[in-house]
Amino acid sequence: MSASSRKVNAGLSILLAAVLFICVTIITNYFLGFARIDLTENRLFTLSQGTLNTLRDIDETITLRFFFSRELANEFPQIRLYGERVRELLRAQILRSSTPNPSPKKKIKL
Amino acid sequence: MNGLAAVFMREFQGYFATPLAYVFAIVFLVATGLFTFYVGGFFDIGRADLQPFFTFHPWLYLFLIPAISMRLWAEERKTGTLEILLTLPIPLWAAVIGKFLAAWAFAGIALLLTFPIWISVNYLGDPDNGVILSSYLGSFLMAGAYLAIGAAISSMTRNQVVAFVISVAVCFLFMVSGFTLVLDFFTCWAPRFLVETIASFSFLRHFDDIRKGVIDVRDLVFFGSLMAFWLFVNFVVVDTRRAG
Repeated sequence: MSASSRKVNAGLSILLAAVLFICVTIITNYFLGFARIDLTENRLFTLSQGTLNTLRDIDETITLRFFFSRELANEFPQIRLYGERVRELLRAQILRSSTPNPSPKKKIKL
Repeated sequence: MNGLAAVFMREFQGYFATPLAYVFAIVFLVATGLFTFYVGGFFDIGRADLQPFFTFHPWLYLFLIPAISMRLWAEERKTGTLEILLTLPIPLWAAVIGKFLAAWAFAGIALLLTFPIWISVNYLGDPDNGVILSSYLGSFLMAGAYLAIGAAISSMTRNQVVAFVISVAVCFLFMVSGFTLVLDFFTCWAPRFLVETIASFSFLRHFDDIRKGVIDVRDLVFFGSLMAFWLFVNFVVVDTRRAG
């Protein structure tokens, strides 16, 4: 193989690897939200047994409204991170409730 | 596998045969100490945790880790020992991974040597050791990510200074990729999911997550795939240059 075609091959394989890397990141970002190990002593980031019991026993329908402006949060990485954490907490609570129904998602543009 | 172990042992012992290991470890330890106590205000905040200690790790690594990684390949190329290494009966991937693992293990030892601060905080108060453990793990993973980037860039040049400067620049971009500094390049043309993916490349963000005491699979996958990607780049660059 000539030197130039080797270089093209190398460039292509690095490009492919970069695309693969970005795809893996996107997939994990969107689909692996719940797999985590909480190492804090008091289990600060895990739903407690009391919360789980309460969630199980609620009979009525509860609507959760989460207001979060992505445009405004773009400026502040910490706030964006915090917003994600709140969203994940809400989602975790919905999944553990007696009749989980997280489907009606409405995105309102502000 | 033998080739990998041989490269690893040779590289790892090489650190301690030169002043590099001692200079690096001492500067790292002194710098972490100074930052923790003076800039971070370890005593002033009045809490028994190691947050002021870990806050500065990404910034210290930004300059110290490229200093380890810059010589990995550039030095071999410059002194001409790369040809010897590449003609040895070991596969190229073993050389790439062996060098990386040796540097990572060395960074890990420097990190472990900060244990007096862990003892002090346990002596002074009652910290959450789970959080400290997860922070150490996060710091170690982040060091590996910086190293993988630095090693790949070191393989592209024969000049160590160039390798150092470019590694610092690339690591800095990865570190702050959650900030508008980087995102502004993308927000005007890229779709939102891509912008958010780029934002999620931020080392600071993943490290902040782990530092709270939660080890998320996303953080592990991110650091793992980042290292794999840059090691692959490293492999391809060395392989192409060997032929050309």
